[in-house]
Amino acid sequence: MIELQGLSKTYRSLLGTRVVPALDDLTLTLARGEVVGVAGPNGAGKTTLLSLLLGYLSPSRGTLRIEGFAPRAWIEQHGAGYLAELVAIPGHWSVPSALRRYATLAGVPPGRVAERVDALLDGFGLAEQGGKRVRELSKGNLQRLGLAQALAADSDFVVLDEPTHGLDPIWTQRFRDVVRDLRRPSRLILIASHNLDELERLADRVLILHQGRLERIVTAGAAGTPLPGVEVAYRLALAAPHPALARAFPGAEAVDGRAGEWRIRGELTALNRGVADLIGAGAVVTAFAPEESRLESEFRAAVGDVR
Amino acid sequence: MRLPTRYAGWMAWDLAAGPGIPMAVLTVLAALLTSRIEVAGPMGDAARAACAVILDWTAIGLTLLVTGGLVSADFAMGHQRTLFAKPVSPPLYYLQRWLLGGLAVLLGAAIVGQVIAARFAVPLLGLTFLLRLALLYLAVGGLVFLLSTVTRRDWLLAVVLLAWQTAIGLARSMGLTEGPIGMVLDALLPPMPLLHLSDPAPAGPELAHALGYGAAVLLAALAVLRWRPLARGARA
Repeated sequence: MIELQGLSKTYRSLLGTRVVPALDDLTLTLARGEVVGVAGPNGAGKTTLLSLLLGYLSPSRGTLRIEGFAPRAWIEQHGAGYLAELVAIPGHWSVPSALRRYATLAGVPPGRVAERVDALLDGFGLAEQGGKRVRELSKGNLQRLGLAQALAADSDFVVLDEPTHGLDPIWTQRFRDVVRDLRRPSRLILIASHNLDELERLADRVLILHQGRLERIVTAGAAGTPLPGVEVAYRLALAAPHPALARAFPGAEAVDGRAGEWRIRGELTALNRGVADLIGAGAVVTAFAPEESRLESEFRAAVGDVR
Repeated sequence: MRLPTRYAGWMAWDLAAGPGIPMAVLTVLAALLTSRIEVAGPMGDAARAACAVILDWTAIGLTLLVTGGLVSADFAMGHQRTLFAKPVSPPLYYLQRWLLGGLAVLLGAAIVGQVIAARFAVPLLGLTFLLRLALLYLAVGGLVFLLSTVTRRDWLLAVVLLAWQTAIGLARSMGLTEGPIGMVLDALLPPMPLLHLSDPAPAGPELAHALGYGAAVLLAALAVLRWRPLARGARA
């Protein structure tokens, strides 16, 4: 659906005295039916990439085509479901009127706008906010309104920039259900987020950007599977300390502030053998889980320790 | 191409609830002022001339109110990011808003014009009035529209430019001549002497000048909206 060829974006100050490269030489294909995550530290170029995809910015070099069209031409014809990183909706609008407006602009037929808005208000838990102005909403409710307007029409291209920012845990969980419901073969969904756990749960592929470069692409199928032969870090929890622990895992480190939890490192099969020995010796294992996911490992490897 | 006409009702509502309020206040004040001017006696002609000036500046004031921030307010608040992910063209969206603003200016100016026409028993309103008002809105409203696509201080800049132009006009009427920079600036500003609402209908070169100027600034505004970034590269 979307082809990026050598895509680069450089910001210049008005007089050209200051030049900031934001994206550098991205070549990539994004297909319908995919959920693609975009991760990277602050300033990695995530929002610039989304702005280029929506035609808000023009590339400095390279090409970007959506079904063969320039992004702006495609968006003006078909529209996209877009949630901006900072939800900016005029504060004096009421919540239902904001949704009616965006649904109208998005091309929902006039006879179906009211029905669609009611469904969005219910679906995003905004029905109780119906009497409020946008400026009166809490951060979480504003974020939900932003999500609702993004999904006002049945767009085949959905772009969500930090979608769970400001959402409480319940709505963060519900957001995952929303994305799962949005999945369909004709739709491409892009999610930019700092939340790697969220991307790992939702995305088929995650693009890791760093300083404007596409450092790596992590595919979700393998996201939870550590590579064979690679040392991984796991957390091990025991119901009670057991003398067999020191034999099974000589290098185990107690986790600060977590009684009964240890950090163990090694190749995954070796760790499994150690756990089996522990259980065989009568220890009660209450938890054995990776310290970080494959995506987190890949992310750290790609961007290093960014401060 | 998808026209944004489906959104015209909401735009009209926003106009009425936003700039429509100060526009109504200005219209009422101008109508009150003109209704209280003495029309008979030795000051009759001067009163008529004063009313004509009030009418002109009311129309200009209404134009500034309705076109100031037309584009820049959305961009300053970041509203454009959500708007233009929808299937809508930015130039057509703002052109529609500008045209609706023109209707509001017409309404306000027609009310003041009607008060003046009734006071002086002159047939002020008619095709000539409409043509003059359309030219004034095209030129002044088009200029502010253009400024609004490039700066947040569009209305302030427009006020400064119009004040400059008024000062130049006064200087000219006192026999003073402007320098080369003034002449260039003058050429870039609306041809105000051609835009008095109570004058006879413009024709020939005057009409071509006013129309050409207005069309140029309007097309320039639409061209900027076609090509300007819809998001900022905040880091440069």
